[in-house]
Amino acid sequence: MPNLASFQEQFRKAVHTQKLTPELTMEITPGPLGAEARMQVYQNNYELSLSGVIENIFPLVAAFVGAPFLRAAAKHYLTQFPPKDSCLHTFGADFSTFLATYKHTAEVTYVADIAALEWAVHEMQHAKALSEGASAEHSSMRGVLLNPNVHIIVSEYPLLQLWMVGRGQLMPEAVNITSGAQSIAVVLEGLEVKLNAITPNECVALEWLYGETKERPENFSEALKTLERKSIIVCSEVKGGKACL
Amino acid sequence: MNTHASSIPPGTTYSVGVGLKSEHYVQILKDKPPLGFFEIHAENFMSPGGAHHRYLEEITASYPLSIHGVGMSLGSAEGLDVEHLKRFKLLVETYKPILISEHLAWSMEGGYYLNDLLPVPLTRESLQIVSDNVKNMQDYIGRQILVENPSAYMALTASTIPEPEFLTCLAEETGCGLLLDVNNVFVSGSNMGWDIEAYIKSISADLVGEIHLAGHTVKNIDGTELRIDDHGSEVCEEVWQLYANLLEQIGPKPTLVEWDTAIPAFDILCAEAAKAQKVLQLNMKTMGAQCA
Repeated sequence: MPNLASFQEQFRKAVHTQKLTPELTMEITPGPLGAEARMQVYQNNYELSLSGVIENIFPLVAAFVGAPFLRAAAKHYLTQFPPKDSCLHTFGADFSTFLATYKHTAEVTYVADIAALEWAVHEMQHAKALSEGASAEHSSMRGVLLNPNVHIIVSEYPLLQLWMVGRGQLMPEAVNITSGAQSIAVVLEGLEVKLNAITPNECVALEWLYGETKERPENFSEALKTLERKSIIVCSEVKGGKACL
Repeated sequence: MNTHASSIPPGTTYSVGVGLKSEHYVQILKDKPPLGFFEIHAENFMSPGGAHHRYLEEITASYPLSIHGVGMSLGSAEGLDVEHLKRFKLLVETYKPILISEHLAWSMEGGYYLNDLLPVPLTRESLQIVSDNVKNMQDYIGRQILVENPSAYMALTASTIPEPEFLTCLAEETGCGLLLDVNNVFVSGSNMGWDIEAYIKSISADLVGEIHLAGHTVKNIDGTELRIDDHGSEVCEEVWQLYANLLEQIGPKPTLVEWDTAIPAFDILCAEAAKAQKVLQLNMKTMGAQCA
């Protein structure tokens, strides 16, 4: 008889690999229903409940590739990125990365960006808003106070239009997939999650604010104004550590 | 034995609650149904913010709350996850629930989370490990917890202690209470061929702090029936009968109707709760008559 730690390791591996070892079979009391069939219940629970989590978070990916494709992709994802946290709102964080290299999405490479956008929306839906006490002070960069609840998704595709197609707000034929790159800011503004297209000028300004480029863009003050209007910047005049919240 | 404040404050009525689902938030706030309490799965409210929290704040302004954990992994040989404990404690401090519960099960191993309530071999070694974990959880959150009997699909050859005895020893060792899930007794008992009536009879009244009721599904695998605890349908007749028998034996207890998959219209869930309330009230009347 293995000790509890060893039994749990064997059991966990059986769930992950969907295989039952002879050692673990010995641990299951024989009966009219075999050990494999009984183990299958736990294996199915694991696979179905977690692929269900992915299906719930990424309905727009499903709109583009179909629900059966997403379900199959979710199962593959689960084998590569099994959850490590009991807080399931963090499960799916790598799904976009997974899709970017998933061989079956080679023809629809833009779905990885759609997944990144859906994940950003999901994260913002679970974030603490500024009005609920989220701290913007930590996001003060170069004297500018940034909204801590912002995700920027940089895409080679017309991402906002694709989003609208996925939501049924735009006909698919209205989008030319080769029409160029588009970056999107997913912003928690007040208690609402909003999507805004980001101009190349705003992108450069943000890169400078985050210290990703050393050169301050020429029309920086103009970019600050528009970023503030989009709630990406909370305040562009931080003095003495105090912001104009 | 550890001593912690009982989960059930004095004066709590023995009423019926339902599991809180996001699909029902708006209707609950609009209709204010006559329910005793709501129960949440702790892990669904461990994100820093979001609409779930705002709805929960509003709902708990009018109703008592029970927090039911599904991811603490009390049966883990490797002990509890401190980060998870911190998140759980924050939830308890924020929402001040009347009841707190978890499961006799495990879900974490080697840094992986399996998102299920997995079976623990019922041995002396496991009893020691689960007791330590329960004590640690109670000490950390500063409250008594109730430990729920799990539903199971396999018996383990290593088990030497019957489940009711294991749970009773656990309660005596740690000062925890028990959450008796009548549906789980029925599901596990049917799947493993236990004497279900004997299980119910062996539970001591003063250990039970809450009762769970739920629906399950029946699968036929190669000619053998297997009951799956999916919480996706109405409570079956056998479980209603067991519930009535249990109340007769232990007296009225706060009761929760769970429905976690194929979420029905809120009225259907309330109808199940009303059915449980009727059984509970009948029991209270009988008990009152007996006392008189």
